[in-house]
Amino acid sequence: MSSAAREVISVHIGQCGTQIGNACWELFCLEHGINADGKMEGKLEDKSFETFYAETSSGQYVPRALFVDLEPTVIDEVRTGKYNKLFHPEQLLTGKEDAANNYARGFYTVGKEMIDKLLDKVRKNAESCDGLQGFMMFHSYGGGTGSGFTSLLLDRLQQEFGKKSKFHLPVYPSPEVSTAVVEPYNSVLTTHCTMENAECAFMVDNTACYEICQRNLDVERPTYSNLNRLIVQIVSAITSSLRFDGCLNVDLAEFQTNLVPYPRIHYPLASYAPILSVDKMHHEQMTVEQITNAAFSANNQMIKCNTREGKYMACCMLYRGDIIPKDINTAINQMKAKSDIVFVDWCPTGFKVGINYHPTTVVPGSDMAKTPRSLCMLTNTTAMGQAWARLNGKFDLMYSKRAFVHWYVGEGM
Amino acid sequence: MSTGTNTKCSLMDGQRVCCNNEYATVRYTGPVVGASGMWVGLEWDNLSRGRHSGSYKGREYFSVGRPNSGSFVRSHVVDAGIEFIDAVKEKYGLDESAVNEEVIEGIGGRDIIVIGAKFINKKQSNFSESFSINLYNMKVSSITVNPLYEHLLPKASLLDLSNNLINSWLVVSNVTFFMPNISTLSLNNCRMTAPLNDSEASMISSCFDKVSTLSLNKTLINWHDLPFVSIMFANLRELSFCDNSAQLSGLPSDSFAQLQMLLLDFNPIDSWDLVLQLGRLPGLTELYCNGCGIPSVYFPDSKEDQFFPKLSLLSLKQNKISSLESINQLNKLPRLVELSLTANPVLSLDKEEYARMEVVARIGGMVTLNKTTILARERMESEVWYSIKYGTQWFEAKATSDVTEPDLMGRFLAFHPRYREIVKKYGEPEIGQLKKTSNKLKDSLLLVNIVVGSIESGTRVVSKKLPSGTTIMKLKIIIEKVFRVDKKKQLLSYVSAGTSNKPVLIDNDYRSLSFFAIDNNDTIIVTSS
Repeated sequence: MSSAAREVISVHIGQCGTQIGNACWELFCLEHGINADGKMEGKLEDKSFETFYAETSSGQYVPRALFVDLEPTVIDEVRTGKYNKLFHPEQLLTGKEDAANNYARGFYTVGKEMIDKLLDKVRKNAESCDGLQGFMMFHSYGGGTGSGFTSLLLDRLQQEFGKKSKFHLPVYPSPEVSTAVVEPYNSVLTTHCTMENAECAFMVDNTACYEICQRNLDVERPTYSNLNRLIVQIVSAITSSLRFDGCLNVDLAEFQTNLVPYPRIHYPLASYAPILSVDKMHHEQMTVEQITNAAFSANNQMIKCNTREGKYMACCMLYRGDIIPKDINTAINQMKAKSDIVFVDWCPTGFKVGINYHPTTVVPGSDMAKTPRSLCMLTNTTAMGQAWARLNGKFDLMYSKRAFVHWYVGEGM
Repeated sequence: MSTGTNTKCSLMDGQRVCCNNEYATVRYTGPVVGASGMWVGLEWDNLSRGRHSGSYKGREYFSVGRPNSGSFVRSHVVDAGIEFIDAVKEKYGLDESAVNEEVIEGIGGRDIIVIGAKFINKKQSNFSESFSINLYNMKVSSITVNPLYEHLLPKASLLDLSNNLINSWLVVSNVTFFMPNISTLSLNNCRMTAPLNDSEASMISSCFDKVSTLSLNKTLINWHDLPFVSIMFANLRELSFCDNSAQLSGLPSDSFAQLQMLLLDFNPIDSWDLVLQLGRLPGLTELYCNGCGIPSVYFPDSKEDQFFPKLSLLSLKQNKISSLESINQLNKLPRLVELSLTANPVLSLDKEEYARMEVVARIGGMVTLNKTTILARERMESEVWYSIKYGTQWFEAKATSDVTEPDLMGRFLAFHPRYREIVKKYGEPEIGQLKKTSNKLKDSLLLVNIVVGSIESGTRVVSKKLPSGTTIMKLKIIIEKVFRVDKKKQLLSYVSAGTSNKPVLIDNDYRSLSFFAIDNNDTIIVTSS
């Protein structure tokens, strides 16, 4: 299972990317037993986590991550926060003037001054890797930096590191937790650019996460911190095979083989189960059947869309924790009874199911309870078109009146 | 299936068995008059399987806890369950036939490929490394010590024995022979029918020294037996005792000395008195009583007894708390910082956001309500809003003299215990903020007196009630109808009520009465050009 280290470099862009990054590395450190200062407790048995962490000569483990934002406030919180010793100061890049929720500023005006510095750091990181697999980018669609700067970065990465996989986790804008009116503009412009350059995108919708927090975790008014703790459980599940020894989806290329039938259709839908608060966890049994059912239900999806109206192109199910292969058979028989799983005829991929031995961890103080077993399901379904249709609808509404267009034209678009 | 040829002898009274996927307790073995052969009398968990209450053709063979939950079956359909060690091997043991890529017939026309089964099986069958054992629903009925397997699972800390056929605590204690480091134990849905006494409990107690989390949901254990549980699990930190139809009562003062988290969801608690008794638990920091039907909450005022001294989290979702007085009482808990009250009638007393502000204002030390942190700004806004909401009553209470209503202030403070504190923080509410603006249309109508010519000439004065937003255009139409003066020729002016000021010209037809500051009882003078 373990071979030459196949490293993955994470880039966290903008406020959204940085805040998700904070939560993400906090969780990863807990999962691997790494302290806030980078030292590891206990014996090393499984070296797979070195895909995400680099070992320094002093025995410290530094995440292979870069944080970049065009204005300093959010990253300053990392510099002064609990995990400030974990990151090298050179990994945290900030500019002075932000992109003001404007794609054009993030891509052209302000972004172009930052991109060279960032690429320098990326090259440096890549050189220290034995066998770089690819990149994972965390950003939002709605913000200026998250949209504009990410497009610029992906463009340049494609030129320099064309052969490496580029995955990203965009946060789809939502009306409930929205900060700007021009989010549809930023989203459509980014998607146009990243469609060609990224290999796979695990979209996450703030509305869906918001509702999950309210409904499953009984949080009255979810904040970004609640949403991010939920999102990073998905990130952890998706990357678990990259960080622990397992059998399914052990490298980024395998994700592509399993989930992406055609290059442009690379937006799988992520579902996760069980999502339970501490008190509910104590009296739910959480059998394999229950969590499988929950993962197929619309209530546990990370994007709001109706999968019953779409067809499946590919599906990957990764169970984690205390599950035996025989339990999988039970779960599969249950799935067979679901007559609403229809595949498209023009796509050869099917279902892949795997188990990861390591159970989930939760950050202390999180609303989600630590469960002995969990399931992360990634499906490539045609129902994702509904999410795009919603976004396009909003774009058309604004663009038909040329509303706010002058902000973009003014920056050179 | 059956455990051997001597099933008649090997089934004992009180034994838990499985019969066609339903769980039951053995109550009788032997012949039944009126039917041939040997029978087993069962008390079913599921009432719908029962046919009678232990009698057949007029003779009583056994008694049951709930009426009509019993029936007789043949011994060969009774499954007495399996050994713990066999269950572990069955579930996690090495499976020679496992492969790393297995194709299973699929759904939607596609194959399902299971990856890595052999790899996982190899890891899980390495018992010396296992960290968690889940034997849910595997019909484990006995745990017999077997010297071959001493400390078989040295690193395993979690054991889930839910939905099994174990019926005695002595049997459960043998688990530590195989799993010496067990810290989390779950026995949900296991009916422990064998009774326990103090000496047995003490004997077992050293086995469970390391267990910090115990789950006993749906076990129907009597609340009176909890002291035994406390003796057996002396270091217990978390106890889940949900859905047991438990009738709460007191606990001996040394019970559960280390207990920090207690879950009592879905037990029927129709009076808070029963929960108050738990207030003596010295270490309790988190208490969950969701869905218990609690009607109200209160805490005694006594200074000697410290009720719930360390409680920082209280969860009372889906109860029947309907009065704000309960909220006031929650302010008495010294350490309470987190509270959950979703789905209680008290939160529907007002609009959603106001209900939250009311709760925030009434409990001063609270930091998290319904899992959402109360930021400093929210606390300030809620408390100021609260002071304004009850400001009128506060001033009334202050204003009344001691003779007429001596107790008004006392009553006010009893219902608003934090009011004084809030007023100290932010000052009293402004009188202007307290004025209630009426939204009714009839309260915003103006009474205007319309006269043609001049006021003194004694001509007819018509009084009309008009909304203050009436345009002058409309006013002219009305005047035309009443006084028959052509609206195009009307020249309007008005004199303020009670003054002898010069009339003010009303010269813009498109403006309203309020634009010209025309008020109640003003006189409008009509002249024609």
